[in-house]
Amino acid sequence: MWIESIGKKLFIKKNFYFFLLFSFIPILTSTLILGIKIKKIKSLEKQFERVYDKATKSYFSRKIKKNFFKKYQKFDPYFVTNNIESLIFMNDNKNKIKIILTHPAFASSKKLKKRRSFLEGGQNKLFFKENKTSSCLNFKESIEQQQNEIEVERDDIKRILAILEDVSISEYNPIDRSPFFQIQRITITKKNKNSFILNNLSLIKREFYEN
Amino acid sequence: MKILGVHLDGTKIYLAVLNRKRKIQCFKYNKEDSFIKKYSYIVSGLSSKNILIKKKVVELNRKDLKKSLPFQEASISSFDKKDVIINTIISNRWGKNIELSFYITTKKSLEEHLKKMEDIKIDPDIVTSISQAQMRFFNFCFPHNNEAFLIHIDYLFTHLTLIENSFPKSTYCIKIGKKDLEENSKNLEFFNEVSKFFYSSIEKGKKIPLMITGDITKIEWIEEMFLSKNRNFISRILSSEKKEFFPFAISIGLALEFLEKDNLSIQFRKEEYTSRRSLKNYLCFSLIFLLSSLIFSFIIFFKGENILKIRKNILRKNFFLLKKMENVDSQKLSKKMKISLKEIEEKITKEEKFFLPLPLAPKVSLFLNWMHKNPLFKDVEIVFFDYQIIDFPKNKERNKKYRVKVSLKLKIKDKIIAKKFYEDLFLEKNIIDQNEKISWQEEEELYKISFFLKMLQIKDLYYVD
Repeated sequence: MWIESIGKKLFIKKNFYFFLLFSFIPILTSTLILGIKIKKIKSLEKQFERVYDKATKSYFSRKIKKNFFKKYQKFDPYFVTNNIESLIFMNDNKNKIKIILTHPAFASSKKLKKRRSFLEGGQNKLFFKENKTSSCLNFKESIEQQQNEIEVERDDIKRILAILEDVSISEYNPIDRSPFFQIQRITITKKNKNSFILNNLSLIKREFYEN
Repeated sequence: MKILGVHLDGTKIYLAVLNRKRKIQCFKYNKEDSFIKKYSYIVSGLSSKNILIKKKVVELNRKDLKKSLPFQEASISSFDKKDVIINTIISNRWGKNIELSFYITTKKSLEEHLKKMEDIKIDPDIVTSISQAQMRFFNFCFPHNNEAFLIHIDYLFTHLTLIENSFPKSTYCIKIGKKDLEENSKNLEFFNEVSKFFYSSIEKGKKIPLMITGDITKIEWIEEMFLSKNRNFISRILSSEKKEFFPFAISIGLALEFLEKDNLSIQFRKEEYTSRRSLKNYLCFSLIFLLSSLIFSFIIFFKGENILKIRKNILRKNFFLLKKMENVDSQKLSKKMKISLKEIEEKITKEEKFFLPLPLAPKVSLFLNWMHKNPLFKDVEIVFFDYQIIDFPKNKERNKKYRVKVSLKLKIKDKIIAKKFYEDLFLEKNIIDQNEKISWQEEEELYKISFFLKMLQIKDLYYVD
């Protein structure tokens, strides 16, 4: 009897159709909840895809930047003075003069003596002047400008470039704790078979700091 | 499927059982029988005295008719709509005209009828009208006749129905039945009442056949009496081979009403009067539907959850890889993936924006090495070399690109070699930027050349682990 009474209450006045509609509520609810969850995960997947894309696209350049920064972070502030301005060039030529001067015929040659004093004195050395200093958030940039022209041999050029460009050239290797140098300008003119005139050497020097 | 037609006639109950093939079984009700449950459907009928048939002709299309039906029903009866049950059927159509027949009964009559049925432990599924049952029986016996007077004589009442176009036009109930006719107590009154009905319902001069049903074995003289007293209206008395079914005409008609189930069928048991069996069926159907809906929802939900779980796991794995790739400390990140992704994105953006001009200009050593190894310079003496970075990225001009100009003075003795050198210079694409200007000046054996170097790519740099 109770079934009829429930039935009567539920189905009088077209409530039956309402009940049928009502029966769809669980399906609708579960579909709705699922829909919301799917939407959420889709948006999360989309966000992840965007971040992942961004990460992979710039990963290499960011990694390089990071390593580059790390490499030049520990530098010697007096590197130019200690390691570049102290370089002595034309060693081959100097040795040859030394040998010639030991010969009695040339021992009193003023020309050779003058040449030797030029090569051994401080005249044939690199001297730089720091210009145009600017600083950024993480580094200080300055231009080091060569003050005097010097005479160099082929090997001297290799040595200078190995130090300034941080590469190994023949037997010449870079020196540790170097700030970052970028050669802005270099002019080499051939003087004779073995020597060259080096002038206009200007360097972009960047000193990196960690914040 | 068996359909039971139940007709109450005073203390007697006439039953007729029909199957789909119209096979008829007739018997009288015995209270001790518990056969009722065997039948698929039970049909009973309201007496003509409780039913009012009204007709109305409207000129509407089907769509408008459906809309206007509640108003038509409200306007047709003088009863309060709450107290009556109206069944409307389209009884005739011609042109754009539609004849609507309204079967009106009071709720009280229906309740009384149901109470009587309940007393004999019958709960009919369908309650129609006796006039409908008469019409169905008439159509069953005389399918080719479409008009007749139908008289069904019960023990206490006589039911009169006029059929026109195979449809009840009017119905009437006289409170004189077989009992009175057998006693010859109210014969005159009976025939007067019948004549009144004939007069009021049929056009003057028209004669139609008469069919008398009911248990009239003891009052067979009545047929002759009808013919003699109503010659103006009755053309003949209809006789059928199915005469044995005449006492059960109403109950057979009721069962036929269900079997026919056409647009002329009438059902008064609706809404709050819905039968118990229908309610049970409704409830069972609804519960099954609800249960299926619940099961289906659970299937949807759990299947969906599983798929979501798989997707979440994939996402988690990928997120772990991203964290590893970006070398992020998980403890510093938010526990919510959405927020931590945002944090990682911010970190990446910050790192991307970090200004650090990478040395993308080819080094002097690189260029000199290239010159040294290049067969182009084999028969050439370099007397002057100038390397100059003209543009490079600065703090205020971060997007500026490196531009490196190289100027050379070459001594070439053989003009053929010089010409070849000149031609080959334009073909060199690895280190010389062919998009920039290449200049060439000749001064006897000296050749002044200037060109721009091609910039390096980030991948060419070696600052990696």
